[in-house]
Amino acid sequence: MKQALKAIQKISFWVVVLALLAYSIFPIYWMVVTSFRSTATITSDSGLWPQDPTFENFLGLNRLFNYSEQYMNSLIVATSVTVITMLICTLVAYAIARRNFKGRKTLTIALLFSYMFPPLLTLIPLYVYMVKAGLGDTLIALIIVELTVTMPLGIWMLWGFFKSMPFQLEEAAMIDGCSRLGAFVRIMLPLAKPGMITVAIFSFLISWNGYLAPTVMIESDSNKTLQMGLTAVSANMTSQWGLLMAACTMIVAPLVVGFLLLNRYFIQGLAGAGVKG
Amino acid sequence: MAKIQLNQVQKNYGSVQVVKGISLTVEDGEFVAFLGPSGCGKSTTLRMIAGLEEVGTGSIFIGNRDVTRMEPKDRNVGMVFQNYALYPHKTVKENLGFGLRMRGVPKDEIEKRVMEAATMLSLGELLNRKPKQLSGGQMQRVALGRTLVRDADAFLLDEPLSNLDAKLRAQMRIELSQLHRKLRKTMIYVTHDQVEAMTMADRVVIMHGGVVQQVGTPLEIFDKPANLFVASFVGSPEMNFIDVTATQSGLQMGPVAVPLDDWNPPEVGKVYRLGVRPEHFIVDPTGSIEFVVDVVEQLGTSTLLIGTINGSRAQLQTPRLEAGYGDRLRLRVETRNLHFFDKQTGQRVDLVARG
Repeated sequence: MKQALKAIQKISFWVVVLALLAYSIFPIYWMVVTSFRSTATITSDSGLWPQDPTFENFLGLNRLFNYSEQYMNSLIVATSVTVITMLICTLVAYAIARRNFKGRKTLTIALLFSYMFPPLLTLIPLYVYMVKAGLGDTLIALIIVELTVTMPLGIWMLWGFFKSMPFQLEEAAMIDGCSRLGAFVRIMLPLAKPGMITVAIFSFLISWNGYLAPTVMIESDSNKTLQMGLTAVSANMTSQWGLLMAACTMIVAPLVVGFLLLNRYFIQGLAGAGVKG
Repeated sequence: MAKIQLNQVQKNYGSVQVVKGISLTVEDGEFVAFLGPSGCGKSTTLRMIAGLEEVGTGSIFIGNRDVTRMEPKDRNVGMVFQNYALYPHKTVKENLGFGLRMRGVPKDEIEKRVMEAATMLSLGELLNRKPKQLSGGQMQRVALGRTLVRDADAFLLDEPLSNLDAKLRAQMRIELSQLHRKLRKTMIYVTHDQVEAMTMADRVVIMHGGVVQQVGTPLEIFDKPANLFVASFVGSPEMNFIDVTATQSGLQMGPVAVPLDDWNPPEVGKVYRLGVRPEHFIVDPTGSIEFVVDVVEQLGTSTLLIGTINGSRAQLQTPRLEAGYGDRLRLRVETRNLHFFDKQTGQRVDLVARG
């Protein structure tokens, strides 16, 4: 009796898990599969696997739109945002967590404050600033604008990370022969790795998927990013589902690869548990 | 190997003075314990010696070097922290070798010294584990080993046993004593646990409110506490305190006169605070002190009695004894086991030897 109950429990658990998996993964799967179907078969072919897989849609993207150029732009923006966020956030978060300096409190409150406004609210003023600074319609402007979103978030997350680490770890390192900087680089940074990777993924995601900021900041075709390219595809090629799905697949691909490589850290980082006292 | 010297060391946090001018010399190879309640400045003093806390005024010497303004890394001291502070992302072996690597010691030399320390602390099988996979006692040993391999001038230990359970603590106490005997290194050990201080240290430094109260061997401190604080802090169960007036022939304790043989009154007619350790009361039908039993705690080999003498609370520890609530016992105390303290200053007043 008890065993039967256990079996039922187990089965129902897996049924729910599989249902949830299908629910969240199937649309993505369908998108990828559709992007490999040819224009001729796209409405008739509804199997789980394309009858006649083709790269025609991907090649078409590049022929009809500036997709590779936009890809480059998006990569430049997302990578720059990620790198800058990481560099600055790590240092600032460490400083707030560990050092007592004038304006520390103001800084932490300002960080929290910056969350209170929707990013949209600051977008237009920022646009005006950028134009006045002579940076209108440039990728640099876009990078700066995306940073205003990713940095408070990154500092906040890493601050929590550094706070949870015992002071004594650094002190032990300093007694073992490190300078303060040495202790930070050799002991603190490796321990903050899960948090840093989480912040990196977040900032990459935010800037890679950003749509609003580029639409406001960028005008010229040569500076457009992927997300803007995607709107062009969907606006001009309404019935070309294969093309649209290929465009989407291209956008999602680096995220999926990155996540698969880093998901171990990502989960650790979200759980926030880096060290046990 | 080096002696450590503190000259008038002071430390303020904002307007609060936490260490109020400590002067102390720890001899080469000596095991000294800083003992005191939390907030007495003992950890701060240790951290100033380590260089983790800036020295306010005064100076600190390790060996012949003035280290007052030196970085921790240049002081060549080792430190064991209460929470061990092992690097969680490194294996035991890497933890042990880290200090040597930072100092540019060649690889095979590191290997050799790590192995030596590992053998000494029986860590051999754990070398490839991460700190998370160790028990408290093992982590403690690794933390010790980390200072051991470095061949530091002095070992600083900040409450290293307080995270361990009682049984392990007793075992580590023995291991630490043995280690000190083997290495003959200068060691400073901070603790709030009098048992640790009394059992391991060559000398104990008792601190309270940022001031050194007394420095002495464990027995000196137990036998001749310098003031009321030391008297009440050291010894368990705690010392009894009763106000008495010194007379020509002994003590006047309220209405009761306690005649004492072998008695040289400190200053006749003056009121003192008398301290008697619970185990120094002797149950004796001819004794002049009357004790009314309130609570009896049977401890097996001994009995702890809590009650009143002349209406003021007192406790006494005797060899096993059957007693019950309301019993009246007669007690006496040998003169040499009486401690007199000045009521105003709290300082010890020594009896003048008869002669």
